Amino acid sequence: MSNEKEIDKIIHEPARLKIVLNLYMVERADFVFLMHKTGLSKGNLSSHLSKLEQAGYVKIDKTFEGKFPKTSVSLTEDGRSAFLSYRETISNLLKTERD
Amino acid sequence: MDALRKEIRTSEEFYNGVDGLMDIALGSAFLVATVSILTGIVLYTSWFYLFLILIIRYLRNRVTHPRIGCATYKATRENLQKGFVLSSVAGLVVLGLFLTLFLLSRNGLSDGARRALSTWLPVLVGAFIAAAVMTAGKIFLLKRFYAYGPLILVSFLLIPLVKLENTALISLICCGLAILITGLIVLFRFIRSYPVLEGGHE
Repeated sequence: MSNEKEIDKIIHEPARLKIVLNLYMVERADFVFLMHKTGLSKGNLSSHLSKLEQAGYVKIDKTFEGKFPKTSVSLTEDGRSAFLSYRETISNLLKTERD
Repeated sequence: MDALRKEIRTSEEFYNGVDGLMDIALGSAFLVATVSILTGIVLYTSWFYLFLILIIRYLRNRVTHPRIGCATYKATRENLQKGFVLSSVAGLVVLGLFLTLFLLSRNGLSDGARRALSTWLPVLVGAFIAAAVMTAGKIFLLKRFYAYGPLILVSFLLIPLVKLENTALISLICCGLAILITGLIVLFRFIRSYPVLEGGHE
């Protein structure tokens, strides 16, 4: 289990993993898209997004569309490479366990 | 295909087609084009297409986005750019082809060939429209559009084959209605299956 220390703890948390995975699939998404895709509540999603933003993995833009606020989220380059590296680490780990 | 890329494609297919708005747009545009061309009121209905774009955008914002959110997929954006170039080139080719056919029919064709051309011209037009619809299906990853292509072709094929009064009008209107109704059913099911999310305007 030597790979365990390489696992990115920010992404490894299930809710954040769902967020990052869904953001990896798109160029940009709004708050509702992420709520729909992850099944997280508004508060939960906000708190996980803040953690990802602090880690530099996501970029959050807040604008207004008419009267309504609109939160737009995208994965940064760091976030994209962190997700790919996490995916590789997990795949290698599972392969090692299987072998 | 890599599992992740497959997942992205599935997600994109779902997102682009789940609300049926593209089907409604296609069905309405087809219906209005049919009625306006066959009744000769093209100029009066051309404003409709601008209205259609605005209404689809409005419905996307009011119906789709509060339910499943708004996202930009890289492939859709890139395909849209490619599609724009492709449709411009295809439009010029089609225009050139029809111009050639028009000139040939006036000067260089025998009576028999001219009659055959005027009989089968609707099928040629239908084939182009069907190809355009299926290309749009490929660009926007809309699987239902692959079924609309053959449906449109068949509706144009009926024009020379069925010798009844108003075959063209009935056949093309039925085709447009079928597409429109499919879109409305998909939209109705979408609204029932996906309620507006709490905080859906955040």
